[in-house]
Amino acid sequence: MTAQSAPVLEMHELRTWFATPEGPLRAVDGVSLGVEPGRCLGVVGESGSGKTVLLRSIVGLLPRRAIASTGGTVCFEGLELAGAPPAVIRDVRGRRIGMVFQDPMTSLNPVMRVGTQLTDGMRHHLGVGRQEARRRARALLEAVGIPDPERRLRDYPHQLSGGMRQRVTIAIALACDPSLLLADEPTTALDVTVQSQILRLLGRLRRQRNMAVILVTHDMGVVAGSTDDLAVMYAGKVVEQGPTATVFSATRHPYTRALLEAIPRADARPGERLATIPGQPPSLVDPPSGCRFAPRCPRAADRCRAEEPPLAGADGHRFACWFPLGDPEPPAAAT
Amino acid sequence: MTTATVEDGPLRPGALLRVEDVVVEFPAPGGRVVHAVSGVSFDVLEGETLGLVGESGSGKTSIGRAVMQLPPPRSGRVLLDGVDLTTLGRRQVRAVRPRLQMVFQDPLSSLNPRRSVRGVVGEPMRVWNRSRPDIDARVDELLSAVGLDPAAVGDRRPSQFSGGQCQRISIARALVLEPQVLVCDEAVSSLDVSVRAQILNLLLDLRERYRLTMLFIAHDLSVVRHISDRVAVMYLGKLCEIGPAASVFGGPAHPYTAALLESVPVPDPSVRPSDEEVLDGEPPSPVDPPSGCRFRTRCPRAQPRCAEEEPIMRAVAPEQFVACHFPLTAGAPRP
Repeated sequence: MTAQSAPVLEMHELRTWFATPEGPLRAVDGVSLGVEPGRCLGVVGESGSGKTVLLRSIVGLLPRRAIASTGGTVCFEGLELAGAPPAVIRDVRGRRIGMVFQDPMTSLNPVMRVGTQLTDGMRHHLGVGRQEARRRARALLEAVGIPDPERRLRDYPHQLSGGMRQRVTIAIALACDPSLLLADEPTTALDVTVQSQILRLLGRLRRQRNMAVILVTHDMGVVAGSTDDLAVMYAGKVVEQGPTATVFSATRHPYTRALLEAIPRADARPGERLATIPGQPPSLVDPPSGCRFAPRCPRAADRCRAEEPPLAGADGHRFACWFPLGDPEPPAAAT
Repeated sequence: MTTATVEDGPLRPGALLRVEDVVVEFPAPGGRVVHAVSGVSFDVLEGETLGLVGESGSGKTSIGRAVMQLPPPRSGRVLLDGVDLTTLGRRQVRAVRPRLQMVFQDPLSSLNPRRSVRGVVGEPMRVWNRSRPDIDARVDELLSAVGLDPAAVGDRRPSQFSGGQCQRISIARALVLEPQVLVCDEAVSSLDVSVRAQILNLLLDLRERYRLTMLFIAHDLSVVRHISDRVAVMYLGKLCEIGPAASVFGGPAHPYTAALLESVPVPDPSVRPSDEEVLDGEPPSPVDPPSGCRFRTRCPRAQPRCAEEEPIMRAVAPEQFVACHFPLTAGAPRP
């Protein structure tokens, strides 16, 4: 990868397995990713691919009892977060790492005024006084595009519209000036015109603050418009990653291509059938040997079912496939 | 048959389903009224698919339910094959229902968890006292038609299936009585991209096979564009624009349609969204909608006239109708 500034966050072989009666469920199974200041890393995948668990694993926001085993490293600004004592993670979370989740109504406290929720973090983490926190809260609401901030500080979440609520959660995430923002489907619950406002806002704030952002989404359209780099997850693993433009234009992994082809295109003929992926994602309790996409892959050969492909490539574009697109088809698939 | 009370032009003679000036209202706290749908007219020819798009609160679901008489609209007419459903008594409406069926958004909650798949799909026929052999044969046919193996799935419960499979079961149930009109309310919205593609293909196949007329309600424009012959755009209880899918998507005449289309994230990183806001603010409350044109409070082209006079539907192109005093015309620069 071209050397820019040092990554804000670097995960190496991150692993989160959940305990289930049938055995450990490999929700995140050896993921290595990093994100630099001012850049946005998109993580896409379908339900159950592990993208949300990955995000939550970074900041230790998973129920401890449910976890069977964890592994790997998460290096954040020189600090090791994986296996760090809860007090250390608590201090980082909300201060140096901000978080925005999908549903603003459930991430805001319904019986606390917006102002209190905004100033709590600042007063706790930064130790600023009530007046100063209030002043900063007003500035933050203005920065996220909320008109009449003084009045809104006294409002309760239910008095705000969905888009306003999400703006408030973004303001809360930014309150302590974090160097990394984790956003999990931040616009999925919003209408499309409001989604476009929130995505623009996130982009603007990221550039102004030179903040790193990890954006988890299922929407290839959102990824295309808002991210610099992209990681595609399937069954707990990253199958392809690289600069967003490269992954879209020079797709190498068959799963990435299948995801892109399943989107209805504007230039399709009326009634044209969409490309689909046969079968269903594998069980993560008993994943298939070799490549996890092999049972559904049109190019799969014997080697894919026997040996797991490493995530490899050049120029920052890496893919986990024995027979990537652009290479000749494997002999077995031709039959 | 009395002549229509609407003077606007989009209604065509001989349509299978005809919605005339439908009004749906709900009581709100304080004796106020939610104006969910305020005088909407459209029609669907036999074998045609009309896509109904709009954001939350636009009234698209209320229209779908008004068509189904669940409940009947406050005023206006819903004609199926020339028969006004709103004038029928309860027994008569029941007799018509087999011709009008619905598929809902959440496949799991719309299926009885205690019944077997065979029981769920055959239930509508049992209600109509069809003979056991008839039911068995028809259920087998429908399960196969939606891509499920009747022998393998028939005795299992809905909870044993994935979201996509549950939606296949819902579709089989909706089609078991050989309806003429299928109302799909966000039928693919909760599904993953690859599963969504499978269900869309299935709907396209079934539409041909059973000559279905469809009202396809969705907020996802790419999906609506893919499946619809004609598209109707709703905003705050009113129809903004209606016309052939290619015309509405290719040359939107209503400023709201244009903004909606521009807000959709494009799955192509070379098309970067501009930093400019497409549309400011959020829709006003349907309890107290703006005077005149309901979109005027957010419309970039709004003039004083828009607040005083409500625009009526008029033709801007062959079969394309718009309710706007200052529509966007082909080639005209955007203000």
